[in-house]
Amino acid sequence: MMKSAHAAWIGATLGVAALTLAGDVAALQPLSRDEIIARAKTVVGYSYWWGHGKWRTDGAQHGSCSGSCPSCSHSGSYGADCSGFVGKAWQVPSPSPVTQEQSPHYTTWSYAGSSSMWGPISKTAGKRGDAYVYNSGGAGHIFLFEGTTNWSYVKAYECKGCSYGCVYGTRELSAVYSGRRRAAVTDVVDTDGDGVPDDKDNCDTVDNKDQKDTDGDKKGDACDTDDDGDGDLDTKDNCPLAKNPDQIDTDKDKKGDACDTDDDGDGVLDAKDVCPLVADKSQQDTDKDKQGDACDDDDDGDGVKDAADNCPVVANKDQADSDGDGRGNACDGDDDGDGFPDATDNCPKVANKDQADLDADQLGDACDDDRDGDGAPDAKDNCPDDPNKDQADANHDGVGDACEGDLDGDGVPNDRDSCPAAANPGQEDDDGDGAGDACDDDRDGDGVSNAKDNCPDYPNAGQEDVCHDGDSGLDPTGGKDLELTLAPTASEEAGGCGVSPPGGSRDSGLGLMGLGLLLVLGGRRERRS
Amino acid sequence: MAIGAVVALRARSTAPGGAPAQTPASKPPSSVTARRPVPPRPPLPAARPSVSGGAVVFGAAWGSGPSELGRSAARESSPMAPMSFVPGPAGQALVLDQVNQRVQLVEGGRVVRSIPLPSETFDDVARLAGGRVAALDRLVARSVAVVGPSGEVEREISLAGGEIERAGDVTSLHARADGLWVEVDHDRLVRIADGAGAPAESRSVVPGRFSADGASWLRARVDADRGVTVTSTPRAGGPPEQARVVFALPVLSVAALESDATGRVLLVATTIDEAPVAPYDVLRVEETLVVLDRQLAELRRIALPAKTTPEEQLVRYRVGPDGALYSLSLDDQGATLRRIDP
Repeated sequence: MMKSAHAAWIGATLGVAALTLAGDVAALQPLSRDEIIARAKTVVGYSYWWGHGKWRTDGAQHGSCSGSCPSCSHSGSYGADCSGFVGKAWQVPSPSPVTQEQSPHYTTWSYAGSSSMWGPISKTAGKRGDAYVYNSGGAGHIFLFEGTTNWSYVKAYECKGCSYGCVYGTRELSAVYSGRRRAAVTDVVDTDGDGVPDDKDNCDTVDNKDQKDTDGDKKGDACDTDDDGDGDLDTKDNCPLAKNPDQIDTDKDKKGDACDTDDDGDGVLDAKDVCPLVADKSQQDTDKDKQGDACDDDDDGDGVKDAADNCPVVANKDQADSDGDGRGNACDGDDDGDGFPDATDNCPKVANKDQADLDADQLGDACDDDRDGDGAPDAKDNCPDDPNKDQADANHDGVGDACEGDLDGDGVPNDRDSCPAAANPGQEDDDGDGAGDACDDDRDGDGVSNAKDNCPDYPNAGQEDVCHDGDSGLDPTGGKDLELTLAPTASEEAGGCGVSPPGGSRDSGLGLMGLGLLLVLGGRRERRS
Repeated sequence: MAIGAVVALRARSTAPGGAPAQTPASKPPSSVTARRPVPPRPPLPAARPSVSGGAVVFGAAWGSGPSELGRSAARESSPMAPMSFVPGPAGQALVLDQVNQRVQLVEGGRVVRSIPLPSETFDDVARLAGGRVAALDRLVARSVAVVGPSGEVEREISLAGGEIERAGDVTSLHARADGLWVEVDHDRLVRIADGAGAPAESRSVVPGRFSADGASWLRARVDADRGVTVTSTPRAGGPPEQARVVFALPVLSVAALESDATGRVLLVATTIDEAPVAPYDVLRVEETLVVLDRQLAELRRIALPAKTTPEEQLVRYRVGPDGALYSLSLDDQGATLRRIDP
């Protein structure tokens, strides 16, 4: 039944085809070879469906075939037999979506015959989109030509049969097959076979599918000798795809800066390089101004250009240079140039090789405004080198007592003066105790202070009135002081010891005692001398 | 009948005076196509007619019986018949009877065993050890199946990947001691499995078919000027040898490029004479075996029966272990395996 039905179908189709073949040529739309092949590719994988020719471009719903055709069974809504496939690929007699059947459905018998919609070609003249058909004794097959192998086997798209479905593969072309070419094929000349017709190809002799034309001069890069149109031939252009007439190549790597992602060749890409044109692997940027030190004329950003900056990488607006060695204090390890590093120099800004520090306050004398650390600034300290908080200056000579050499100004240096603070040029010291009489509160050394001693110049521990002044010495009010004369009176020499009070005579009872005193005093003088 | 001639394109030393000369004791230096002037074509030698296309080794009628081979008629589909075969020693052969989903093992002129196949879509077959076969399905499964003696599929190796952009571009299957190879575009061989049958981790590519003597890779290419250029690339390195085989008629296709253990190269080409104008009726079809020596110099030509049936075949000729060329031809009665002594 299938056979008869098929025969009827064939007859009906052919009958229609016989009329159609002649009449529908006007509906035949021009088609390029690439379009034919592009449509053919979408059939691969679909099932063989005898008597049909439709499928989907999304590859879905392949359908399936089983059995032996024409007695085969098909399931699904899509599939094609060999002729239905070619008719759809060729869009004959008129265009329709691949998802719809072509009407009429031409068979291999149709294709093997003559038509104004297709014509015969030599077997060896096949081109993309042509077909090869065989039909004999009710049997026939047709497939589409895409290309050939080295042996001239055909690279073919075909709906091969129930077991195979619609496939792409190489196959032999036996002599029983005849070549067919669709009419109105825009025999697009594509000399280089890149899929772009020559009349649209910006390089029609060189395969360039992408049609890239960097400089837009309508000559594709693939055949343009100056792709970027900068006047430099590509063979010599260090950036053939970037306009750079100057050909600057900072790192001389033969890749111009215009296309080099690392112009200075320091391994840091330009986009991140703080000095894209100066090689600097360290990427140092002292002042963080995004301009690396290698190309920044003011590395520390202190407003002083590096060429003149005495500390180029340490900000120092003042440019202070204590020792004038050309290296600013901000970066000089020894600002005062005294040989002592600043970190340990007790006067880092003042040269002091001796590092003298009188008051040991870690601040060297050379820069200490209070050397002796007595709280009195040196400028006002009357003894800047001798601590004297009280600033005493007994003789008001502006030199503090602590450092005064002759405090009392008696001509005798302090260190020898028996009374440094009391002028005693004669250095008298009656009792010879080292304290001059001028400052000795017990001149005679008798243990009784001068103020209480009735004879302050004569030793009288018992306070006997040895100086005959009528003052027993016990009088707390003092009484008359005894005056001694060195030379005894005549009476004394006569055996008395009269000590003459000023203007008066003395009792001779004291004469011997007076003589004794004289002897004692003389001895003392001798001792003293 | 005049068939064609080989014009060897080799560098030749030139004696003083300009006349080409050849040192008697040495062979012409090997080189790729010479750029020196091509010497005039010698007269085309007549082909020695074959004896009925060779001695019959095996014949089978069409059908699905145990000793038959399958053929499917075309009803808006491709007519199919045994796509391939592999000659073996002492009259043995494997015939790919894919229409009947089997491989027929032939011995002593008859089918002795069949190996079942899982589908009808296999295109080529190769002999493996242990009674196993490798079967190529390049269009549907897009793989090579290793099939055991009882038809169990032991392994399937996908064709896709690496050097094989489209499985449909595979043109033949080759089994060697170092593994399974497939030919692509009749141009190069790609190794898809190692000697143990495991998929190759990285696919090697060689520029042509392995010659039977192992010395070179062979390749043939049809050109537009009635010629076929045969290239032999030494495996040991060095420039390839090339020779252009010229025919009297345009070449429709190459049907075979084989070699034997002595280094001979066997080229079979189909040539066709068509009417010069539409509908380009076929006036004459010829099939010629050209025997070349190791240096690709022509030894002789043998006319073979041209194919007259529409059934597609992937492999119509193969060299057997005995150095003879075997052909599988078809007609309305059945298929015939013949042995041709080159």
